[in-house]
Amino acid sequence: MRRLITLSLLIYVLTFWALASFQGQLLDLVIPLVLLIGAALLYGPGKLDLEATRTISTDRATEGTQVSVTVTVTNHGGPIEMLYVGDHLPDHLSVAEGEIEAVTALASGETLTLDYVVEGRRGNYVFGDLHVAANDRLNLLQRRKTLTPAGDADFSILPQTSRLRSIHIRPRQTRVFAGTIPARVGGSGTEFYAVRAYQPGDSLRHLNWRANARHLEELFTNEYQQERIADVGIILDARQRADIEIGGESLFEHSVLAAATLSETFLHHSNRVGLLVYGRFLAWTMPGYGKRQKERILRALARAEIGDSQIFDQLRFLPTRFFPPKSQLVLVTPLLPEDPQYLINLRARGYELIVVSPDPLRFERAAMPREPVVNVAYRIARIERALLFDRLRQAGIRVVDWNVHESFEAAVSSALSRQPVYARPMGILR
Amino acid sequence: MIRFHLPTLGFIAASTLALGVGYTQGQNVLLWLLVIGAVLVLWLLSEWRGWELMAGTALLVSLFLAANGIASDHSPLWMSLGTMAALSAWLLGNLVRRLAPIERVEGRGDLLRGALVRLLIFNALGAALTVAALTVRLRLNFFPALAIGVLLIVLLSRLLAAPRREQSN
Repeated sequence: MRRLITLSLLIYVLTFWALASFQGQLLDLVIPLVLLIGAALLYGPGKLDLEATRTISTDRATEGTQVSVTVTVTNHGGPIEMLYVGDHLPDHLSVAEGEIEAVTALASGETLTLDYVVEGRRGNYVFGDLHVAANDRLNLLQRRKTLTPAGDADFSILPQTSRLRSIHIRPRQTRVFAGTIPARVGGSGTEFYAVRAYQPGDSLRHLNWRANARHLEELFTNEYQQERIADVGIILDARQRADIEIGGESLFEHSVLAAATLSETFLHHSNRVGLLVYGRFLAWTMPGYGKRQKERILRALARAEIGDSQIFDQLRFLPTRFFPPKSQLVLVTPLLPEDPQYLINLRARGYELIVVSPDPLRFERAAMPREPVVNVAYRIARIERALLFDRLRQAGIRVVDWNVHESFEAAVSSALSRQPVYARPMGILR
Repeated sequence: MIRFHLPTLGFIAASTLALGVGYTQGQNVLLWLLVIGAVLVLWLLSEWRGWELMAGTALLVSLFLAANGIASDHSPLWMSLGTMAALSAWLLGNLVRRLAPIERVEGRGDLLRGALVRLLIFNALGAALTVAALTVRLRLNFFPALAIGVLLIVLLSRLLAAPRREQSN
């Protein structure tokens, strides 16, 4: 259209020039311009009657896998001399194979198909409208249109998960169903709980012979802790200022992987798991069990984004009403200096708390030069971080300091696995 | 890809040649040939670097040269031929530039060939009409000529506005 307007302006200018200078011969130059405009109007595209569909090979994929997208555009109107079709690719997706735009001549009833393969990082991807532009052969008259394709419009790339062998948690309150978590209630189980007087019907295998040897008049039996399932709330810290991004790699992505792995592990042990993404707003996934809950949590993690919010800038407004009282909370956060006070408050309200902290110092250190000044600054920052952890540990909060360049499983298994019996009274492993 | 640029370069050469031949019949030949040479360089640069704005500027200067040539009593036929060739070069160059970054153009050669055929028909028709216009002489007074001019402009405006109105609906 712009070219057509340029030609018309030239016609106006030449006509005025001819009139003003009384030189009719100047109008000779108008002839080719008028001819071109006539050709454009004659051969230009009519009203566009196009139908589009989009098919996406899957609605969920994992990082590193490729997803095929097929877009078809069918012309139900008159023939189009030149048709441009371009699909709108969501941010952070890249084309691995094929093309997302094409130009062709499309006769009435014909179909153009775009086949391409995309890949990308974790996220929920929503495709936009198709851009189409029809032209005459000389590209003078253009009609543009955006088409909303029928069919699939989005898919998710879920974070990669792995399952840890076990995470030892001991919330103060458990649920009624049998599970793997010691419930602080006597009953049948594997972990010793107490010694009590023998009741008729008790198994003779559980008699405590040492106690019986000391009290000849009475019999005593060992009692074990009941093992049940628990409520676990995973809180993912998505605050902008807690994140570090270096060379396109974000610490938050490691936090997401940790949250995914933790939820997978807790759900595998039949616990009831909920997820709260604490960032620009509160993205809450209701607690639930099993594979469906795992899918819900993974999809929520796929959507999780770093965000800024004045309200949720600090952990002060962490909503405890989402989590059952005295349940287990796992907070995945790089940890900011002012965070411990709010975590200690949570602990005081009866929650068992584990802090999994992807180490921002080592993450940033890897990209910094090995200079004496940097080394000193790094050591000071490490001491400050160690002091933060000490404060948390003194309040009874378990902390996992995770160097993201090493395996998450190794970090968790050394910090959160069940201590050997000999080490428990001394606390030498924590 | 160079073969898609060849017809454009041919039209640029034809435009320069026609304007040059037209200007050799008047005064200050060297000066005007220099200006035409500068336009040629502008065209070639725009084609080489893919600068659309520069190609538009080259077209405007070519049209100005043609109009100035007619106003200075040079041959209107050469000037019209130069204008038509310049318009063809501009349109074809634009088309090639537009298709160049798109990897998947189905029948790229056919599309460009179709455009070239249409331009050749346009040039032939334009040349015939120009010759006819040069042989027909109508004497009009100022006000009838002005009325025709205004009518032409109004009609053209309405004609161009129609597709835009349709598109916005």
